[in-house]
Amino acid sequence: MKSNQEEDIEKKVADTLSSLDNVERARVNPFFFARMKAKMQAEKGGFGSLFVSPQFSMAVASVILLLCLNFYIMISYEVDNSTQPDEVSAFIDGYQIEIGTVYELNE
Amino acid sequence: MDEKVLIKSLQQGNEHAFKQLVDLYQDNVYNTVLGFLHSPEDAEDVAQDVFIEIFYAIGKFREEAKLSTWIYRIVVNKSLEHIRRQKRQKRFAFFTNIFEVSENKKLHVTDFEHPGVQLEHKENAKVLFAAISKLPENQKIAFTLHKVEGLSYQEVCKIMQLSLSSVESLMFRAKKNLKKLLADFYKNY
Repeated sequence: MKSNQEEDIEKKVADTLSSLDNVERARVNPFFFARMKAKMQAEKGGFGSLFVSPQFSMAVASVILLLCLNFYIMISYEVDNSTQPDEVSAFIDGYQIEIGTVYELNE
Repeated sequence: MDEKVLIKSLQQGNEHAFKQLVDLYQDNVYNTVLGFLHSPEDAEDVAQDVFIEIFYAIGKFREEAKLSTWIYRIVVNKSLEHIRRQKRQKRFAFFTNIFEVSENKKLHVTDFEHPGVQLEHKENAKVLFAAISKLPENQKIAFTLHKVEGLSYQEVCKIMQLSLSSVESLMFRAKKNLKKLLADFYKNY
């Protein structure tokens, strides 16, 4: 035998389940079409689309590539400069070149 | 305008035909999305996305199904996408994550009131919508399309691309799960 509480819960469940019977259709805002059109235009030609367009992406990629190339050349130039004195001194040692002073030349 | 003529005009990019399509289906689309999302703002946003998708994808529509069936499929996909996105965002929320395990099965009754529900049923409908959101995806789709949008089982079959017996089974399981969820809710109420 069911208790009063169980019967009460069963009734509540049945009432809740039937609460959507004969539900009417919700209607959209009267400005729905106008808002959607504005959204479409914004997506089509807005600021955001600038980043998505292939031309813009290509342009950005080219600039980044040029900057990277520039940076690489700068770094490698600096490295060359730093190694130059060692190479020169090795060359001098290798050929036993002596650089005399002005006084030595006069003697 | 005849449906075939309307489709042809839409495929040619006719803006007047598009306005006509929106006028014809806007309430169906909005009502169904609202049934899934339970938020008027999100529902309007997703309903707009549905029509934008229709505008750009109508060229791919091969008329294998009715136009309304095709539109409802887009509605279901967009709504579920939105729900999944919301769940992903919630998963990242620190506090939600902590309480998720224990609170997952509990009903969270929100303030959402469907505008089409009669005044005397508003409170019960709030609880029912909270319970519907806890259903597995396929049961949720079948129940929402049938109960909220008022589509017949045959129409639900075509939209979900399932047999009649599968949809009947989904509805049976959905009602059984809802009864259990509601009984648990009222026991602790």
